[in-house]
Amino acid sequence: MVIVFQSKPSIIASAAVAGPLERKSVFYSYFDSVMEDERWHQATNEQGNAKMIQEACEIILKKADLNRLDIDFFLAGDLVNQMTPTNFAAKEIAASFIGLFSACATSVSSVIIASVLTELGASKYAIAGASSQHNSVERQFRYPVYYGGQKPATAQWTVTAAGFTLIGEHTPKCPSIAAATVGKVIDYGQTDPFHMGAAMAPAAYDTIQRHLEKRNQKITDYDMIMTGDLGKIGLQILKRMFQETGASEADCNIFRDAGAEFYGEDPSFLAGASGAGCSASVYFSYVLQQLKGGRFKRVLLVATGSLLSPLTFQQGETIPCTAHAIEVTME
Amino acid sequence: MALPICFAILLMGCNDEKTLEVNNLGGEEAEEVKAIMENEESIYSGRAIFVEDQLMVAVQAKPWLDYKKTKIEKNLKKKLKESFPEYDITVSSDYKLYWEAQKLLDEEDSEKVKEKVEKLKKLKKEET
Amino acid sequence: MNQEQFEQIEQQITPSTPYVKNVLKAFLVGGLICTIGHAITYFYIIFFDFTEKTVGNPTAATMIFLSMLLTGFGLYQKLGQFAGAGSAVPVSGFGNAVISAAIEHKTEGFVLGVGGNMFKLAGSVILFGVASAFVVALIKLILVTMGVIEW
Repeated sequence: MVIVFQSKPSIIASAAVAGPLERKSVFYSYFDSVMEDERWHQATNEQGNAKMIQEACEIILKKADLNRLDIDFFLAGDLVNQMTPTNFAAKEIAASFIGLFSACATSVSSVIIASVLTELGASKYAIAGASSQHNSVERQFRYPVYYGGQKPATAQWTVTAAGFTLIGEHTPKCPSIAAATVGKVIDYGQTDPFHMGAAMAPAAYDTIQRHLEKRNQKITDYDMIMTGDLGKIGLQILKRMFQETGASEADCNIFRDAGAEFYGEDPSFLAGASGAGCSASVYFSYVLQQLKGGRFKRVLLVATGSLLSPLTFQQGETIPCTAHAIEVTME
Repeated sequence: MALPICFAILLMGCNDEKTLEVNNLGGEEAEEVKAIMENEESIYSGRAIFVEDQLMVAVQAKPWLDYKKTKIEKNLKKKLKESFPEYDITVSSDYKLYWEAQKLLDEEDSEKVKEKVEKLKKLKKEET
Repeated sequence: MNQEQFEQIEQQITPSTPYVKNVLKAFLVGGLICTIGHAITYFYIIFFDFTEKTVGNPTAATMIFLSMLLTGFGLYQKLGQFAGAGSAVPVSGFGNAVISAAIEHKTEGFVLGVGGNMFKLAGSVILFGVASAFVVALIKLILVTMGVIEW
């Protein structure tokens, strides 16, 4: 379903906060704040994640010169069971709370709903975004952090980061959301949780196809189409999928992936970064700053998510995935 | 450089020569014990300690015959019992006893030797 | 784009697992760990009063202690990423599985957290180890009763 926003809600302010390991990221200089401790000096990983979300929201309020009472809605999600960190952060933020789960695509799905509320006139200021914390996700979905298991070259590293935006009515000189596509759930029979790039690529393909078709656009109408966390190998698969259906190789250079670029060429991060915080922190720092700086005029941000759980994997199920897209312009 | 070393190590394993040592307090019985150990095919080294009425024989079984260690000990003990009926015989293929026997070979004080042998016999009986 | 076409593309692009290299790495690291274990065995035999029969316990205890230190300092996972099965199979790998799970669940308290989750990964090793030992002992009992082998 492609939504076209007549009133063009704007991204008034944004913030990205990351953990200590993310200093190694090529996007490090675009982040607003980087903590020295991955738990933010809290007792548990989940509390640290909640603190990180609060930190990002504080930065947004400061940048927009607002206080908590001005916020109409808080829309967010993360990867932990029952979204514990987001729930506890929402308690502190004390705005009307809508919790969302789209796995790693939550960064964009929260912005889409916030934009719809803004277009309806129900919200003047809404904070939307997502976050993830490495330790809490590893422990839930894979093995204990200190376990000496061997990960294959297709595995990705869950980042410790949070990215949030302030969505409001159309404001000149701010990036605006022209349209959005809400993803369907696509399952092409992939079963390997250490190769999620391959599982998510078909979902990204489907969402991008539908958006371009309904909006009557071509790939080259965009300065960049950036997926969330397909990783180095998933991005190659996506590019090939488009090439096999008529796109040229030059066109496919417009495709980029936040996860594939996040840690640069460091081999210890295998196929790249992933996690709800990966797309969120890169989109809501680097991409928005490039838009404001004039380097990009129109981009398509396609956050991808794998809708598996530790249980479904043990039960031998395949990995269904989804991808949500927003078209962000400077007009 | 590595090849001659590997060669030498391999050849050591194929060596037919046995290292057999007996302590000083043995006398002519030393020759008998040596003869018996020489005949035993499955070991490549042996050390015998005589002290008063005790005879302790520590052997090392050939590499591939490690799993038959208890049988080798039993056979050897039987043979030694025939030749030395007046002695209290202990036979072991355990590395610990072999190592300690090495130290006892040059020990002059028979009191100390006796003590050590008693201790080693007790150790041999331990299960855990 | 249907599923078949996609699967073809995915097969072509996904890098294949370097089995030969992984096997060699596992072999060398696993062998090294066992060699260290044997050096510790000789250490206990020569400097303490252990026989070959009794030295198994202190050796395993020492190896597990070393594995605990490496796990706690975050070094065992680096070794594991390199060696794969080479560091997972020996007793140090078992120690790493139990210790890492214990560290992870400290936040939920000692009884339900550490106690309840410590054997998350190692539980199947213990269960199937005991079960297979029972089966093997049964087989040996049958063979001995039939006179094929002796105890």
